[in-house]
Amino acid sequence: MAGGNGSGVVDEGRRRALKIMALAGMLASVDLAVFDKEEFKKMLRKVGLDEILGGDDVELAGAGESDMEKRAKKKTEEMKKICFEAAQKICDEKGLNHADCLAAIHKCRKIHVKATPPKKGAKYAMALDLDKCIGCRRCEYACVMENNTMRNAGMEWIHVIEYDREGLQDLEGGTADYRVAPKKGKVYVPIACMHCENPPCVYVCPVRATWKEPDGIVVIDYDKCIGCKYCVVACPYGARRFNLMKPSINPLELNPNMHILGNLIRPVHVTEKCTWCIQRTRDGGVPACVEACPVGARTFGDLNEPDSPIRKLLERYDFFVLKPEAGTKPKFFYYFGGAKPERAEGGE
Amino acid sequence: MGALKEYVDTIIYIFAEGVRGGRAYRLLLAGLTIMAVYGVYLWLFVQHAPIFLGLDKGGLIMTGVNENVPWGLYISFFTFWVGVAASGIIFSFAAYVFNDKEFKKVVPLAEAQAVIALIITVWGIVANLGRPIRATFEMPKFENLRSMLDWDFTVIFTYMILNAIAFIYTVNQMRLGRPVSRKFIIPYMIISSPFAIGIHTVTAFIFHALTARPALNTALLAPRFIATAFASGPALLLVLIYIAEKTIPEFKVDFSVYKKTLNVILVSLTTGLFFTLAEVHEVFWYTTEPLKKAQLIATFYGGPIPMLTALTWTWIAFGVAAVLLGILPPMRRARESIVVIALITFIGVFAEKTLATILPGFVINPVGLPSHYKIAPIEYFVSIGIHSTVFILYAILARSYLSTLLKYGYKG
Repeated sequence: MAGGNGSGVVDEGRRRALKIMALAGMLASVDLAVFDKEEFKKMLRKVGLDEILGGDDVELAGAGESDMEKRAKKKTEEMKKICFEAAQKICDEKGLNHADCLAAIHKCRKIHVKATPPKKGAKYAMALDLDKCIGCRRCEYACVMENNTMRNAGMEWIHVIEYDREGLQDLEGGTADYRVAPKKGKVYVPIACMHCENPPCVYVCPVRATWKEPDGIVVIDYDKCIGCKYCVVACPYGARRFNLMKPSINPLELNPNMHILGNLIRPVHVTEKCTWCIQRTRDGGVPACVEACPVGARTFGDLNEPDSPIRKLLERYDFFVLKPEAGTKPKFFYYFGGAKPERAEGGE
Repeated sequence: MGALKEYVDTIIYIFAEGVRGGRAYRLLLAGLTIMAVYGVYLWLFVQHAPIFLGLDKGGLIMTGVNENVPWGLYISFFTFWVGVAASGIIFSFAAYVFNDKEFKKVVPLAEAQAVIALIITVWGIVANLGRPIRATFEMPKFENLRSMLDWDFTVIFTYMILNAIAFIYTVNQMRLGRPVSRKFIIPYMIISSPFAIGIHTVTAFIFHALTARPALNTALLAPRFIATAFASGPALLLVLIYIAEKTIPEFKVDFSVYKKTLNVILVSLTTGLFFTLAEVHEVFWYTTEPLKKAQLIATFYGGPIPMLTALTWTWIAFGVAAVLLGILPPMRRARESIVVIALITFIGVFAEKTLATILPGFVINPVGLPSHYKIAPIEYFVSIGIHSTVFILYAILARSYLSTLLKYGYKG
């Protein structure tokens, strides 16, 4: 009796265990069937030929051409068409032999849309010295010129905001429309896309039109954006802009060096934002704002490269990020004050 | 096949019956149609001209929406009407769970109200959408299930279809002289109740999980939405029932419906006001969180958007007034006074759930700059157009249901 009872208990226990296992298995398979398939597909798709062959320096022709590159070729034609239409207007106005007409046509011919893939192992970051920044907004200007930002709605990717020294910590009482700078007791904080490690804007996009590239740049696909503006609402730094009207372009001021995820002539009603000049940085350059800054407040570079200026800087200074409580882990660092005392083993 | 034909006939019957009516009714429909056509024209060919006509001018820049206030009047109508839609479930519950015969008579009206409210919400989103054509292709792919918009899209469409089915089914049964079967109603209730709560919850979830907007970043947002929704939806229905009673002499609803609905309104309204109080306390008592405080100070004391402060105080004043009037015994004895309370409630919640809900998140932008928002004329006209298209539908649905009810009676 006791033995039977005991075995009964064991049986029941085993049965229950088996039931749970079966259930768990079912759940797991359901899980796999419902959710993981897409993830798997993506993983499979990611390992392309270029990775097996060892990377960036191997140029693959024909079959190896990525989707992006194909699209970039099409985009080149499209951009040229838009540009020539605008150039036509200039030529009609000023005559075919006018210098502006010739310059415009020359610019349009030079348009090339790239689809440069991210450099392997790179992780970009930018740092800005608040002591140096004088609030001159030359970075804004350089950014607009470089990135073919629309001229007709006053849009800028970078906002230089003037805070009181006390207001800086809480980001309170700032203004972006100051006339005279620098003023005593004020601090000037250029704010653009922070290229966060945990970007809320990417999480909220209903169609995956925006994502984070392996090199840390958050990009937008202008051909996929449906213009819901949810990402604009979700950005804790107010860094995203929306094309509220059809962007105007001036062929004379056009930057013909374009990247498909960056400074194309934008279509109407899509979101856009700073891409750290993806058309320059992917080719080893620095963003236009870094180049334009007259006081050298900005530093850009690859965090994973031990000799890069940004790495050296971050080792030498105490830096902070805006809104650390948001948990977004920005890759845009601010610092001020003197450098930390050099460590014994540091340097030479 | 026979059943299908029956339902097709019912749908035709609904529309044929709905447009029939006297001179005044036809004039009303004509007026609504003119406003609807004008509003939709403005949306398609003026505001969205760059998309639909490929023009250089036009665009969302014509609206008050800007860099710091990406969502304006259209989205505010979305948040408001989704609440009205959610509340249809209260009547279904009263009717079928508590088996109240008088409530069963008005349930199809609540269902029709839910359908039209949801159409306004979808309209509101679409009018605010930059690229509606692209969205029709991209949204159904559900590429990012982490985005609340995908979930909202799903629940809204499901609930809209569920309500439409229930309405058509009820009219069909009545038209053919058959009782509304419990075999249909019970599964329908079980499926649709979570969706009713779901549409509003998910709408709140769109806003409340964003660190960027501290004024909206509160877990109380969804409960607050539901509470005020359960006040505004029944209030609107009560007003409409009263209008129906006045215009159609044969249509009579028992006074108990008014009284019970008033109780629902009062309880929900009190809860809503209590939630507002809780939020105010959270921010103004100790909190030192700068942005949240700045946004709510701008909401309650006035800031860069004065309209927001006015709307917020309208909500508090009308809400408190409705509750106080509602608990006075003399006010509860007559239909007219109850309808007045319902109207006050509706206006109060309308003020709160439209712009006063979403603008606090935008009034101070995430990096501390003041925002500006002014409703542009085109926004008013497009909104009126959107509402008109839907009120036409509601007039048709309600009229055909009421005439069916009078002709065939209700067999529950």
